[in-house]
Amino acid sequence: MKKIFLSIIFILVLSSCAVLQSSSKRDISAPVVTGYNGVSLALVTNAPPSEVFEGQSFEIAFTVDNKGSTDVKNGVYVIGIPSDFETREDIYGRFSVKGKSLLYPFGDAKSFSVSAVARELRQDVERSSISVDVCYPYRTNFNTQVCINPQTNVFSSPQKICTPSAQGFSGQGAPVAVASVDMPIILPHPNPALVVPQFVLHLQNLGNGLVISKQNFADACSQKSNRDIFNMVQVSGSLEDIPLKCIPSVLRIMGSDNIIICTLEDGLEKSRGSHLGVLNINLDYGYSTSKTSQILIKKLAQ
Amino acid sequence: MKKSLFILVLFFVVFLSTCQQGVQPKDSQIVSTISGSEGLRVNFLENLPPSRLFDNEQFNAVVQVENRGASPVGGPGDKVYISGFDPSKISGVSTFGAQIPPLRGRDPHVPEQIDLNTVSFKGIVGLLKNTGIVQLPVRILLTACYSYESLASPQVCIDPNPFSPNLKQKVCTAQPVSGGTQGAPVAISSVDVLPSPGNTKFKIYVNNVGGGRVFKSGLGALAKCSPFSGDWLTFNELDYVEVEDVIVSDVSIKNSCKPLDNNNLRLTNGQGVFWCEFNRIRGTSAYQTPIIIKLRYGYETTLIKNLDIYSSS
Repeated sequence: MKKIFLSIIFILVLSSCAVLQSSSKRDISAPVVTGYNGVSLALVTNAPPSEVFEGQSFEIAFTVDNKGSTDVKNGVYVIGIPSDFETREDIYGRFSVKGKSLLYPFGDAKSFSVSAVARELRQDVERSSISVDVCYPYRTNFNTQVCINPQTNVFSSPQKICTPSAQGFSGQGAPVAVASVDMPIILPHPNPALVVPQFVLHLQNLGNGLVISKQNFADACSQKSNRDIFNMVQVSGSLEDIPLKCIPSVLRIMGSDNIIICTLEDGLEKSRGSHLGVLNINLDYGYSTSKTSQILIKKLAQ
Repeated sequence: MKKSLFILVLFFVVFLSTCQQGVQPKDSQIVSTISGSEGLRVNFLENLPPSRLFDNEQFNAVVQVENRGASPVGGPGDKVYISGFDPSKISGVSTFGAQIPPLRGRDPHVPEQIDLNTVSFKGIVGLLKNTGIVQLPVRILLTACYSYESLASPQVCIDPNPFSPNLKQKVCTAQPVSGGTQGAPVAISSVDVLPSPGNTKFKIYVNNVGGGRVFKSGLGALAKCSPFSGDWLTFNELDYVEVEDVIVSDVSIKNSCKPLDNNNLRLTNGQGVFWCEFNRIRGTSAYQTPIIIKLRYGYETTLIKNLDIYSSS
C-alpha cells in the first residue's frame, strides 16, 4: 500500500515537471508580435460625455496604445473641436510609444486629455461631434525563410533541406502586411556560376486606418494634406543581408492585392547549394486612425 | 511379383529423394562474414551543434563518422559537408567540406568492431539584433560523399552437363543463390546460375540498400556530390555502379558481362541486373566454386538536424 502511494507521488512529481518544461518552452518560442495592429486609438468612456449642457466644461481624453511591433517616435495627434465648443488647451500634440517586443510584450500606452467648454446655444438642442486623429510613422518588418534551390536539375539530392513553395502569412504586427510570397523564381544570370532569385510579394493594408507617405505623415493630421500623400509605401529588402531591388520602390497601396517584385540582381552563387535564406522586407509608411464621438448639447433651463 | 515391384518402386523413390538431398548445396545463400546495408554512418555528436544557439555564441558542429561496412573509407575526395543554412546567419563554415579520416572496414574475424572518428566544423553566428528576428529556425544538412566497394563471393555450382540423363550423383546442381547483404550500401542481392553444356551464365542482381544515392565511382563524380558544387551529378552519373571484376575459378569473366556501359551498371529504382558468362569449365563433373563479384561506386548519405538561433539582445 505504501509502495503504491509512493509510486503515485513519484508519477505526479514527474508529470508536473513535464508540464513546467513544456510551458517554459512555449513561452520562449511563441511568436512575439503578429496581427495587423499599429497604434490603437481609443476615446475614454464619458470623455467626452454623450450629453453636455451649454457652458458646462468637460474632458476629452484618449489613449494611444502601440499594439504593433514598431516603436513610434514623434507621432502626432490632433483633436477636432468644432465651433460649438471652446478650449484653451493645445489641440495638437506629439507622442512616442514603444512597440511590442520579446522583452516588452505589451507595448506602450499613453493617455492625453484636454478640457473643453460647450458654448451657449441659440436653440434648445444641438448635435455635435468631437474627433481625435493620430498620425504616426510605422514600419512593417517582415522576415521569412525562403527556400533557395539553385539546383534546377531534376537529379538533385532526394533529401533536400527544403522545397521551394508559396507561403501565406498572418500579419507582422503592423497594419500594412505582407500577406503572401509566391514560390521563389530562380532566373539565370549572365555569369553561369550565379543565379538570380526573384520574389513576388502580395501586400495589403489590413489595419483600420489610412496609409500615408512616411515623409508627410504629419500632414494627414493637419489642413495641409492632399491626395498625393495617401497610400504610399516605401519598399526595401534584402536576401541573406544582400540588398534586393524591389519594383516599385514606392508602392501605391490600393485594394486587396498589391504586388511588389524583389530581385537579387547581383546574383547568388550556385555553389551555395539548396538552402534556406532569410528574406527581409521593410515597408515604411505613415498611418492615420481616427475616432469620433457624438455629443448632444442641451440648453440650460431658464 | 507385385510385392517385389512395389519394393523396387519404393527403393527408386527413396534413392531419388536422397540423391536430390545429396546434390543440394549446404548453403544456397550468399555467405558473407560481414553483413549489413550500411557503409558510412554519420551523426552529429550530442549538443554539437546544440538545438538552441544564441547569436553571440560560436557555431560548433562535430560529426561522428563510423564505417559500418566492409570496405575502407577515407580516401581522396571522401568528404563530409554541412549546408542548407543562410550563410549570413551562420558564416565561416568551409564549403570545401571536411576530409573523412581513414577508417578501416569491419574485420571478418571481429565484425562487431567498428572504426570511427570525428570531423568538426566551426562557424560564426550572425547577430539577429536589428533584424526583428528573435528566433530563427535553421536546418542543417549533413552530406557524406565517399567511395565504397561491395564484395560478394557466393558458392555457385558449375555443371558442365546440366541436363545429362545419367543418374550419376553430382556434388551440386545449379540453382540460384539469394539474399543477404555484404556490409555495404549496395548489395549483390542474388545470383541466378544458368548452366548449359560447356558454359554457365550468371545473372547478378544488384540493389541499393543503403537509403542514400549511388553514383559513378571516381574523383570527378565525388566532387559533384558536394552540396556546394555548382556542377551537379547528372543523369549519366547517378544510379551507376562500376563492375570492378567478376571472377570464377580464378578467371576474370568481367569482359563477358553485359549490359554494361564502360563497365558501369545502371540501377533503375535502386535495382540493376547484369549477365556474365563462364566458359572455361574444367573437367566433366559438376563442382562448387565461389564467384567473386566486386562493385565500386560513389555513395551519398545525408542527415538533417534542426536548431534554433535566438537573439541574445
